[in-house]
Amino acid sequence: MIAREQLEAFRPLSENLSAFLRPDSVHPRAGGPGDPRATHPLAYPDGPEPDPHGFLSDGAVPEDEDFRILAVIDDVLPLTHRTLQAADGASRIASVWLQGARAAPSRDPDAPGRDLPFGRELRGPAIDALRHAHTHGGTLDEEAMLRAAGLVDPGRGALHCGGRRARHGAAVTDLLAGAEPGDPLARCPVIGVGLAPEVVRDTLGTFAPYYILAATLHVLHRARRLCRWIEARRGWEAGRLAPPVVVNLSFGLTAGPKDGYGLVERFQDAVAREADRPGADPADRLGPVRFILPVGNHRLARCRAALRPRETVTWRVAPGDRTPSFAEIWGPPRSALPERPMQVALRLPGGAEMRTAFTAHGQRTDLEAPDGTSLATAYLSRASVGGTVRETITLALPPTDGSVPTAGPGGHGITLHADAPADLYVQRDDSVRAYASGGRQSHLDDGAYAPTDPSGRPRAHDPGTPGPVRRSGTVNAFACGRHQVRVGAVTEAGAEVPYSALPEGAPDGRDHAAVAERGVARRGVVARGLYAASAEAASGTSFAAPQVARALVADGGTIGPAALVRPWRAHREW
Amino acid sequence: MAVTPPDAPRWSAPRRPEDAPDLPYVDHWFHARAARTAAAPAWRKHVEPPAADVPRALSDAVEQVLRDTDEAAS
Repeated sequence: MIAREQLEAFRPLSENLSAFLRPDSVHPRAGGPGDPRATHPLAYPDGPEPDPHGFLSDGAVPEDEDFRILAVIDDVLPLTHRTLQAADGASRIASVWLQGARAAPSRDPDAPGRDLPFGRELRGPAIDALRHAHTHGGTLDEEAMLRAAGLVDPGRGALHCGGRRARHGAAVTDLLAGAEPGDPLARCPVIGVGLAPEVVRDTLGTFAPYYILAATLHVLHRARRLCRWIEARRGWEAGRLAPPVVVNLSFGLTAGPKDGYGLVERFQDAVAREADRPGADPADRLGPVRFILPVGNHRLARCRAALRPRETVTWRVAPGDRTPSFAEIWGPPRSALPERPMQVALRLPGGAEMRTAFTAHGQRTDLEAPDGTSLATAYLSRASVGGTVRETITLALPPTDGSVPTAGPGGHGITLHADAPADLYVQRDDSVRAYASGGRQSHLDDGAYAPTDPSGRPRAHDPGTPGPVRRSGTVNAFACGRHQVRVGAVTEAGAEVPYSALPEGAPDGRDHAAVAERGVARRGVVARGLYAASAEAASGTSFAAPQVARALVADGGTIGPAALVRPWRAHREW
Repeated sequence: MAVTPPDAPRWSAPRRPEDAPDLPYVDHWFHARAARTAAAPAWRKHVEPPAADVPRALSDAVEQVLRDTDEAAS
């Protein structure tokens, strides 16, 4: 397990992240710098958990050592679901950090979440108390409960209003942890983090890795504290419990280094590799931690090309795109930077081709019209990769919705000028549903790419001699670590789902597969919505990942790579 | 050889970003936020862009942890 003092180095992270959120999400500091109750999970006091703020109500406390901890990092968690409760109705959610919620107005210095820099933490007893307070005549007023919990807050704008009943995180949590009483999984507590809506909407992934890291820290910290609290509650010696932890992260990006050296992948690899190291302090004991991620849904999205020197592809930008469009060009790992930096030439729609003139890494340059208007920006960066270094050029185009001057939508030619081949990735520009940013996805075109076969079916694999635009290498950029579990999607009959993304050169591109489509014409699998009585047909690898996480828990951490994981709820059960 | 029209767009001389860290998305994010701030009513301005060096500080913190972890594992 990653050591406590190493986590301490994240203090600047948690202290600064709040700068990106709404001010009413940010906790007022208890004191100045150095105050032990400042904004870091490790400022949480040592010693026994204050009993009034325990993690679970009596009925949901595991009775023996045979349980796992299920963790989910997503946009929302469904607090009212019956399938997330123990047999007596007590919530199995031990802790949920709602990062974007209004800061809790508690004056109790020991209240849960006072060690967090922003948002609100709810523990199981608090969720149960809310449910009781909003149950009238035997009927739960879900809307009122979710408002009181801070999960739904229409007064803060559309992003916080709950709105659609079908929500990404609700379906993921249901597929991961939903269980009827009597199911062995119903003994497993749940720890969750609801990422701030502002972060979920930002498909560029600018800041998402930092919030995901903070969320992962929260999961690890609360999982440890939960174990110590259960030990104290049951009268067991400290350090007796070391349950495995399964963390599901159903988020992804299409562009990035994809070499395992991104921040999220490296951190998750480090945690998974270091899990339960012998000799750990009893107060830090925790079992193996496994991270489950989807491979992504962009295999056919034409967001990836393999470019040779002087080769050109067309980058097609849609009209009416309300957000900037980004493409990243990653050179190969080298022992040293090349003498002459990588360059690109950009041909605007109907215009001449203009080549960059970078002289050093860390520079930026703007493609300027005669009147000085910036029509595009290019950045040359360097990234250290395990003792080697890679060059990166990022191209940014402004929105095409008429809000700023542009060269217009359409085909932009990108030509690589370098002494070695490079990978080109277009960043995703469409938001997770319910977080519409107005972005329209751009894509690549090389003239040789055939999306369909002669019968009209999508071509799922690259031909033997592919052009620059590829299906391979489209894997989720967060899911390229060596110790992560990557999950792809299949149909109920076990057939390949063509959108399920592929790593570079891999035949099927996944560690495991789960059913994410009932069939070719029957989309999705049945999962609960945000409100307990709602359901949806959830489609995509985001919903395959939690099913594999669930299967790993049920089968003691081992499922065969060829095993077909099916949803726990039959599709007839709407 | 293609002839570039005199009124064609041109890449500006490369320069280091002085008002933002050399993280491309961050730079654009700040610019977009700054543009919105300029047009925003005064009561909203306090929620607009944070200090420009914050993302770099975050990145440095994460890198430090990962370096420490690599050293501890080796």
